[in-house]
Formats: sequence, C-alpha cells, structure tokens
Amino acid sequence: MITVKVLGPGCDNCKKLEMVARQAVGSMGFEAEIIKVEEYAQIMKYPILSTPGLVINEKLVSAGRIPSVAEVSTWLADAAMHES
Amino acid sequence: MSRTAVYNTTVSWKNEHWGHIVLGNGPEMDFSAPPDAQGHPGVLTPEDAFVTAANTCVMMMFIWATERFKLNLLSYECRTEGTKLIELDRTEIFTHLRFWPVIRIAAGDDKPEVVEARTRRALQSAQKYSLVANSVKSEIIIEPTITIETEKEVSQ
Repeated sequence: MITVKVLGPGCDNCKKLEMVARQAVGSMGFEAEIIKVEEYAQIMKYPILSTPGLVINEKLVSAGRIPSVAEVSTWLADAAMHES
Repeated sequence: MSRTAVYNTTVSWKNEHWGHIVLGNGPEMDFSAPPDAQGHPGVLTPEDAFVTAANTCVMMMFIWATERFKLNLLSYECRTEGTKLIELDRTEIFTHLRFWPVIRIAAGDDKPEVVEARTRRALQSAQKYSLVANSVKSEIIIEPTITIETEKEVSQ
C-alpha cells in the first residue's frame, strides 16, 4: 500500500492539497493511506522549506505549492512501480 | 546511486549474407538481412530484432506494472511497427516505433473507468521504465485498445 503524507499546519492550501491527493488516489483506484502531518516537529523531518508538502512513500515530491491531480497521479504511479 | 548491468550477444559470419547469433540469455539462431536488402526470408533480421527489442521490453514492463497496480490482466497482444526513413545520402534511421497493444483487463470490484485509468497509467509507466524504449532515439507512439471486462463478460 502506498503511503501519502500531506505536510502542513492545517491551512487552506493544506486542505486543498489533501483534496487533490484524495482525488488522485480515487481516480486511479490505488490502495493508499493518506495521512495528515500537522505537527511542526514531524514536518521538519522532511527537507521542506515551505508548506504544504506532499510525501509519497517517504519521498518528498512537492513543497510550497499545490500540484495538479495529474502530477500526483504520476507520482503515485512511480511509487507503485517501485513498491516491492 | 546509479548502477550498471551488461548484456551481450555474439555474431559470426557464416557465408554470403548469412550470420549466426548467440544471445546472452541462451538462444542461438541464424540471421540475415531482409529480403529487400539482399537477405533471406524466414529468419531473424536486424530490423526485426530492433522492433522486437522494443515490443518485448514494453510488454514485460507492462506486465510488471499490472502486478504493481493490482490489475487483473486477461490478455495482451501488441503489433509494433518500426518506420524506416532512408535519407538522400542513403543513411537509414527508424524514426518511429508505433505500438498497437490490445489489452483486456477484468474490472473486478472497481469501477470500469477507474480500472481503465489505472491501465492507461500502467502503460505510460511501462514506456517510462522500458529500458529499450528509453534507449532508442526513435519516437515511441503507443495507441492502445483497452477493454475492461465485468465478471459476467469474463466468464462468457
């Protein structure tokens, strides 16, 4: 199963990113768990300079912007290809 | 960190326009040029080998992708054509490799449109991660026909 983490304190953009992530997962039918990471200390474990951030299978794929559903779908597909 | 792997084949001249090839993975066979290039019919040619390399590699990567994407593959068949351009100076190049995969997938419990989207993405991933498709400078064009079959259709 793919793990998707949305990094951010809970602002509007973080909520939008979570929605985009859910749309991407839903449109592809991937088995994925979406986790919101709101604690600053947890967010800073990733090399992130601005929120919202998106982490897929522990790899930071975007930060400081809201990617499109198509972009997130591509990252999900890449993650799925590398799952053991 | 990047890694490398090495694959090999060995060719030897037999006579006239005949050669013999030993593939690194075991098989060996005679080969020639295509009949329209002073070769012989019914045997491997460099042109066929080139198109075959791409066709087989993309298929194997698609199989891998269907497993990763939890797709229930029912059948896969793909005709692939390589288009050769002969330049004025008589140099030649495969400008395009055009794939026509015909794919049947069982819908299972998912919505057919979701399975089709996942299948198309699997095909994109197959192209993206295909060693051979990545290694050639010919344009790769994939024109799939995808059928998502319900449980009732699969059992018929």
